[in-house]
Amino acid sequence: MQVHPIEPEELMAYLDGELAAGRALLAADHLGSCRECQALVADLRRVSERMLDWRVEAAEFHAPRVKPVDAEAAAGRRPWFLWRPVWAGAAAVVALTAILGTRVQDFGAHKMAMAPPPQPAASTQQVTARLEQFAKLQRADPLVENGALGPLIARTARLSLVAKDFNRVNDAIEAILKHHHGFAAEMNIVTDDSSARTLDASLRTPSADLDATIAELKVLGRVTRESRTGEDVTQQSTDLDARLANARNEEQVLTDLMKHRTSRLSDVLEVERQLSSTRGEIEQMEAERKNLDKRIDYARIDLQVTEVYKAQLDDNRTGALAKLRNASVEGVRNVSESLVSAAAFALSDGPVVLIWCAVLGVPVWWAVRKWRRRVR
Amino acid sequence: MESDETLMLGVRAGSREAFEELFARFRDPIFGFFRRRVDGSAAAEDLTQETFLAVLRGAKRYEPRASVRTYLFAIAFRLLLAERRKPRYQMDGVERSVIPATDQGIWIREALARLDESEREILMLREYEQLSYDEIATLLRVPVNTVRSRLFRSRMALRALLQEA
Repeated sequence: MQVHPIEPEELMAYLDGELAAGRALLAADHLGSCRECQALVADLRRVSERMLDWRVEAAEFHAPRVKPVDAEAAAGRRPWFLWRPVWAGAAAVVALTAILGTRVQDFGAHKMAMAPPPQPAASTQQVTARLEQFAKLQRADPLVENGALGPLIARTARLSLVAKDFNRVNDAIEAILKHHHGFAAEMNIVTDDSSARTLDASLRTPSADLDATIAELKVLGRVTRESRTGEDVTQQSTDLDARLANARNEEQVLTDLMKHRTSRLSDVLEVERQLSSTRGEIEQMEAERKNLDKRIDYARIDLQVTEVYKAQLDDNRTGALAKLRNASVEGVRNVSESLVSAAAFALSDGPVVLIWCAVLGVPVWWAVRKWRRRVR
Repeated sequence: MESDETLMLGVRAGSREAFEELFARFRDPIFGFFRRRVDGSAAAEDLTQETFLAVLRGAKRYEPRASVRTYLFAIAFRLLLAERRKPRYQMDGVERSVIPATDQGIWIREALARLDESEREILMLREYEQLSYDEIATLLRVPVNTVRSRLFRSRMALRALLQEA
């Protein structure tokens, strides 16, 4: 049976021009000699050719001829003034306009010279169209609402194994991750002489490949624990998109106000401050969006692999010899340290002791001598 | 020849010529997209017009984050989903109101109708709309690996169905 270095899916991707360069070279090389893969590629080409049998007639209509902002065409079936979100958006725009829009003044001759010709103030029709766009953004995007073709799930799995051949576990995990285009976010191996080795890893694998990845990891040892959780983040994603859309629209409104209104410096600075704040919020939400997408796109696997521990027969003898040797060394060290300490004491405190001996010793010697004479 | 992004920026700036050029380039692909998925040529034409109207309405807010192609098909896909919620829409997602010109076309259409919905959509976006894996993944908000595996499964399933015919 021939070994195929390329998966059938990769052959298809190679045919579609979607395979990475390194793998594409391998695919091209393998296709030159493998009849089985050549047959598969021929089948895939035939499917694509057959699909083209379904032809549709060419379009014969012309481009729509409407102005860029056409509130009547954009209003849809339901009158815009019946949409509740429109009132919220209208209140925000009116409040902002009341604060800034009533103070219209020229803002420096040099600014006028460099800026494009001032645009007329937004007409009622334009404001209506803008509000209607704002309302559409506040409605849930159907593409996101249903996760396009299903809910958005952030998946997590926990797996604990006991492996006999611990030495090949690390390489096997790397190979499994590479096969499924995943990666190891964290991996730690703890080695202790008196107990089994343990590997703790936090892995990431494409959510669609979670089952396959776990099935391959289970082969590495005996499963002692397995659990899976799935967090439905569809609503969270929808809310985030809605908040992001609102913030972007608010940014656009503020940007338009900056362009279409001229006012005092303090007003302009106020709008700039709000614009900066809104842009900061947008950046934060875009970062949240990316993190959420990562959680959805890549499932997390918390993996723990423990080695089957086998006690070694000659462990104690080796330990005892080392202990005796260490004790001997410790003994010699203690003797030398005590001698050094004594010498250090003699040098540091000896003179003081001698002086006090002399100060106290002389009277004591004289008293003892006088007593002896009396006794004789 | 100007790039799609240059044309789109021209539309954003209010250029009628840029819009008409963009329309000329993408009218047939967008119309074909709808024609294979909704009931009747008139509905497909309406949705195509609606797509380009949406481009006009949103032109001032356009930011070149993704390719223009992906942007247009994203709008079209959103309109398609809205259209599918209407009660009169066919349930299998494949248009049947007009008999294709050839028997082979009939077989392909029927075979596609038997595929799983998600796999069929990815296959059609790849084969008819010629979108890349990344563009399909962006449009459908699924990982690229999911696009690849579903595309492979759908092609294998279609191969089996066509061999039965």
